[in-house]
Amino acid sequence: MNFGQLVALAFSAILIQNVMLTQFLGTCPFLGVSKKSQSAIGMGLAVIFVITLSSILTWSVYWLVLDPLGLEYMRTIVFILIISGVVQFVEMFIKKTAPAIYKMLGIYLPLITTNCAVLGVALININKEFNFIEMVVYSVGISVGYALVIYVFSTIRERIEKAPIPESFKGTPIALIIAGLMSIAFIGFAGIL
Amino acid sequence: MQALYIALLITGLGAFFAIGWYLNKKTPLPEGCELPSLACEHCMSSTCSFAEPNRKEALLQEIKQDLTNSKEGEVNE
Repeated sequence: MNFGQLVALAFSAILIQNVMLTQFLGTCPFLGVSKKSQSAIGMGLAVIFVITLSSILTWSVYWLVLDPLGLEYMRTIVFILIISGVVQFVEMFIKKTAPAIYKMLGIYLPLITTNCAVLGVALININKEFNFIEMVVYSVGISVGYALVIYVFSTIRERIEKAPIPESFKGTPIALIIAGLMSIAFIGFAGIL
Repeated sequence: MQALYIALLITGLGAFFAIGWYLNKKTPLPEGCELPSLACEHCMSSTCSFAEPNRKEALLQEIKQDLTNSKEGEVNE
């Protein structure tokens, strides 16, 4: 894959194959942590960090351990354990070395273990048989796409809070309608590449 | 032979997670990141470990309120 194709892959991962709005992975934190834009930024950054790190680890374990031993069918359970373990170590490392970053990301790190987008990306990387560079570009692209949509969604929700909408639509119903409209809008990117 | 590999793999990764969890639990929180200050305002998750102390606090408040209400009721009677 040349440089142009890698850029196309990143673009596709961010907008066309957006993990939240077109693949519907990571919906729970998307709806739960998007009431305030500051929380959304924290969650977005934590997702970028964890998805990239866990994708590198899971890809390496799959191709260096599971595939040579013929244990490909064990990948789901192995990936879940790797992701849970990585999150614990990352949280501990940040607590010790960078309190400022912990203040920003700390609360979101345990929530990421329940974010199925992390496991989803790890499995997609294997199913698409990416090489190392493609895997890194795709993982970063997917996580940046997630961070982008959660931030945009949170800013819309902040404005909706002040809008005169009917009582029965307030809260989760209007949030789901907005997510649906955003999803339809993102489908429009499909024809670009 | 494959069963042995599987057992080793799962045990190793289980240990990796358990050690990570234990060390993380032992590491003190940096100053200013204590849980009550976070107050879980931004998240609806009821299963998150961070929500536990807040739930306990809310339950205690509720019990105190009930006790106060019942005492006031007795006085009125």
